[in-house]
Amino acid sequence: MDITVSGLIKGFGSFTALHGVDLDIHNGELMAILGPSGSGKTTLLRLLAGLEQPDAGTIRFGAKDVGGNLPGDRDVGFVFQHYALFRHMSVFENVAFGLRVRPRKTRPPEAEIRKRVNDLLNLVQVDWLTNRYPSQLSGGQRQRVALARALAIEPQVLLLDEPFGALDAKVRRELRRWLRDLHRRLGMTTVFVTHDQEEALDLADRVVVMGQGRVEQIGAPQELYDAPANAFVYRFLGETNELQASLHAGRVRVQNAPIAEAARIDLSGAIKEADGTLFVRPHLLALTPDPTGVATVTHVSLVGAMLRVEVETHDGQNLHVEIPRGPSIDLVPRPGERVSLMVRGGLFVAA
Amino acid sequence: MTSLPSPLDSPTLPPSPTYLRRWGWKRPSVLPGFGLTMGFTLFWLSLIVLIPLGGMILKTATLGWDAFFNAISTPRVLAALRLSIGGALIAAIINAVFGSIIAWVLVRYRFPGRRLADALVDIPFALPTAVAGIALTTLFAQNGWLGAPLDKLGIQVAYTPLGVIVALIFVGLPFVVRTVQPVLADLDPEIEEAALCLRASRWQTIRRVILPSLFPALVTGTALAFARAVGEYGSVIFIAGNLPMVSEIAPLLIVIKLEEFSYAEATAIGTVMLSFAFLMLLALNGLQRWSRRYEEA
Repeated sequence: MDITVSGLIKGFGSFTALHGVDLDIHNGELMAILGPSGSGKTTLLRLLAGLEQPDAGTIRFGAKDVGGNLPGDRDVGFVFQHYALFRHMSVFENVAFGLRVRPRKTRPPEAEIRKRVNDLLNLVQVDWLTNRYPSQLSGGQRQRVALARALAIEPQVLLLDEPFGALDAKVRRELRRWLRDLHRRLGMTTVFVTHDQEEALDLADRVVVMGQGRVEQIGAPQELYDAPANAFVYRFLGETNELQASLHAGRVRVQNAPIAEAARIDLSGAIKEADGTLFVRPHLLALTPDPTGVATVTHVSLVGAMLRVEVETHDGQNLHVEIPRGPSIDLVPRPGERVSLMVRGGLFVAA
Repeated sequence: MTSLPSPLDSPTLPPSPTYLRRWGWKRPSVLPGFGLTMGFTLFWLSLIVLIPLGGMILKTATLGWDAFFNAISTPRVLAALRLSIGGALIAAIINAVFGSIIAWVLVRYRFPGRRLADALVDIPFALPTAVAGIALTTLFAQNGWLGAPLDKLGIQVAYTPLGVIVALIFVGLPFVVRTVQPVLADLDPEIEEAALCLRASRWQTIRRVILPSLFPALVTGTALAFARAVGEYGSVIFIAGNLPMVSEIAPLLIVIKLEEFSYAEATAIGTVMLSFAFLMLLALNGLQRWSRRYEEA
């Protein structure tokens, strides 16, 4: 189901959580809402579910305005951050709940409920826990049960609030892969909220980056990483170095030295002359050993596929540089060595 | 006779430090305090609970079985026990319903005067029961603020079993509210939202989600209200009118027996009430265990 959100405003008392949000979610898409805490991402999700009512703006599911509808009338499945399982019900009864509370006329017969619930528990791979109570499950298992429960009412849209937030790193990666497979199999429009950029970029077809109640950028993960629309997105996604820079005659200069011709610099907006900040990803900075260079190596981390080097420029700025690591570790800079730096790409934002 | 070496003095095991092996069944702990506090607990429970109750049962035993049954099976005693226990049960059930609603409102909503309402709940705890009894009697007497209109409808409260129940509701209310309240406060509103998302109606949410979660606390609160009401004396005797066979409660009968110097008969009634209370607590404990079966196994 396509979801169209326009001009959504929501406040709580004197605090405005959303300042006019516009958003299109395509049918069958796996979409992430990414933002730091307080950015309004959970509020947006709860508005989509109908758990909150907007102060202004419209939400359409397909062609239908669902503005005044309660969650039950929206065909959404909602998975809560802390799962909100019914503690006094077994796993089976938790999943069956959505079927058992239907009005008598549309309630499936007991045999069919059994079959449906068992199928769902199979789907989320916890069929061996049917008779356990939520308190006897691990976090990952609870998450799967919560998902099965949400799917039991056959929703058109699946909404997940921080689905992996409360899990440890290993289970998180495992469940992430599993959720992606499940989405591929079911093809259901799915929206999840997260503050973990890696999770959003790894899992989603498209990501909405939110900051302070506004949508900062919407795009495919790679688009966001390679072409951040503004300083907020640049800072929020991935690591970045910020260099004092200025723009003269269409060329960006750092400390009065023009940047190499080959560098790909985005100029956000068409400005001619300005002082500002140049954002550079660690992997877009290159080092060459140079006894007369402008920077000194302060720290080198050798773990992983990247060499992570910290340098200090002669005017006291600390920069992070990432260099892909070869099979051997010969050409490793040592702390104390002088190096020269080259910028290979970045985003210039006028101050 | 040769003795086999006990596994305890096997030479391969290093001796554990003395503070870790004083008691066979005690879980070893480096934190001291068990012996002292357990001693106080046993001493205190004996002094305050066991010795008085034991004394009562001993006194009852001087009657012998026949005299015991004669003492407790007179119509007057049976009527009094029926009123005390039956009235307490009805009052406890009414408190369970309305106490839960009060707890719900106090926990879930913010309204002006909420703190005052919250404090009012404790009044029955704090007020001398005799004062409460006299106030209720004045209120429900035929010419009282509530008694007069009710009298026009043909309902008599003061000096009837109904009056006894009113007084018992009054004294039992805080028990239910104060046990349900914290559990309700811990109940995550998210589970109600989850039920809403699964298209449950409000009533289905209350019956299938909220009430089962509250049930253990509700049982405890109701049991406390009941236990308090069975033995309640001060607030009841004024409003009851104390007509033998009609509105005379068992604790009053005990006092009457004492005044007649029939001490053993008085303790006989007390023993019946004690056994009943004990059975009741046992049953409620079972019910509670059952209703908590889903908790950490």
